[in-house]
Amino acid sequence: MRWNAFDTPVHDSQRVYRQLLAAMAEPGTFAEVEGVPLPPPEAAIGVACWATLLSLCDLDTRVWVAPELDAAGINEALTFHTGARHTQCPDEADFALVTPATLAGQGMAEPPAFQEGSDSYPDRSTTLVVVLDRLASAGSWTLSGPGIPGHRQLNVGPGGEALMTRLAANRTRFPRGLDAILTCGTRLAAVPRSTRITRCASEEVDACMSP
Amino acid sequence: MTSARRQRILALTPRERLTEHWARLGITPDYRCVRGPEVGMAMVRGRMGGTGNAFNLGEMTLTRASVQLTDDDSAAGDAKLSLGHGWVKGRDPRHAELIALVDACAKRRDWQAAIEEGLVAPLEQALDAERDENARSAAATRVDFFTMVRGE
Repeated sequence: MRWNAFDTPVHDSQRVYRQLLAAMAEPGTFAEVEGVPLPPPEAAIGVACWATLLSLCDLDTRVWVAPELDAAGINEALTFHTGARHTQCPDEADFALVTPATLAGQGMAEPPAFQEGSDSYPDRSTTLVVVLDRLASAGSWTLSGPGIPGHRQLNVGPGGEALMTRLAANRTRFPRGLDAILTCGTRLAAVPRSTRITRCASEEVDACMSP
Repeated sequence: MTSARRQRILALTPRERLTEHWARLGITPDYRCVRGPEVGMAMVRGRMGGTGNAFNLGEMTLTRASVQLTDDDSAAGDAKLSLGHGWVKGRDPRHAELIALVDACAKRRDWQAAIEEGLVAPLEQALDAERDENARSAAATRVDFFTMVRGE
């Protein structure tokens, strides 16, 4: 078993869960996940992503893993450590492990259709755990809405277009929608469905900053 | 010997006896726990008469552990071969860990025979002897019920 779980499962998962809560409450802020085991070197996911999965998955959750992230036996490891079940259908998944390319439908007939919940039960939606190459502030996307005083900026790398377009579409079907946890290496951030996302070129940012 | 049969014998043997027999073998590899030891619940299911529909009998505590051998041989070989798992009823983490360690070592070709003959076989005999002894003492107190035929 090259995938290691938390050394102290109770405290470590509580700590990571607290970081996830804080990230969800204040969309666009970053948390650095520390003191958790590294995934194997050939794995396609980072520390923050692995810690998120270990904290959130249990016997009652179903996980969908994008084909391009299915490396180094992550499915077996996740089931071994958390008991989570795997599903082949994206619309059955409680958590989906994806990249922006997955949401663009790269290498598939069409982009996977995740569960958005219903108007009566919006909580029965899929939460995306996104693996990114880059996650920084000061970028081309502007976040606003609950938990954000004014605006926050987010940079999700050059391939993030499909991801942010998909998340921006959440607003049209509220309260249905997808929540996303963004991970990159040891860093994580979250974009819940209540967040408004707009593309903002840098000069426009300056314009809207100055009243 | 199948893995299931070995697990059964190791789990039914009291930990003190298992520890003592294991120490006699002198196999002391380096290992680490990859999962647990952790205590949980398991639903025990039964079938009326062994053939009826399955029903839930009740929950019991269960301790499980998984260990991985960390010496050079296992690092070179297949990771699955150096993993061992142990389950035991009740809440005895050290017992589960020891079973997992024995299970991991029993998958090694060079220790397999020693474990089968030096550990599992004597433990099985001891368990069988205890069961026979219990059966005998129970049989001694057996009461046969019968009805006297009332005389004419």
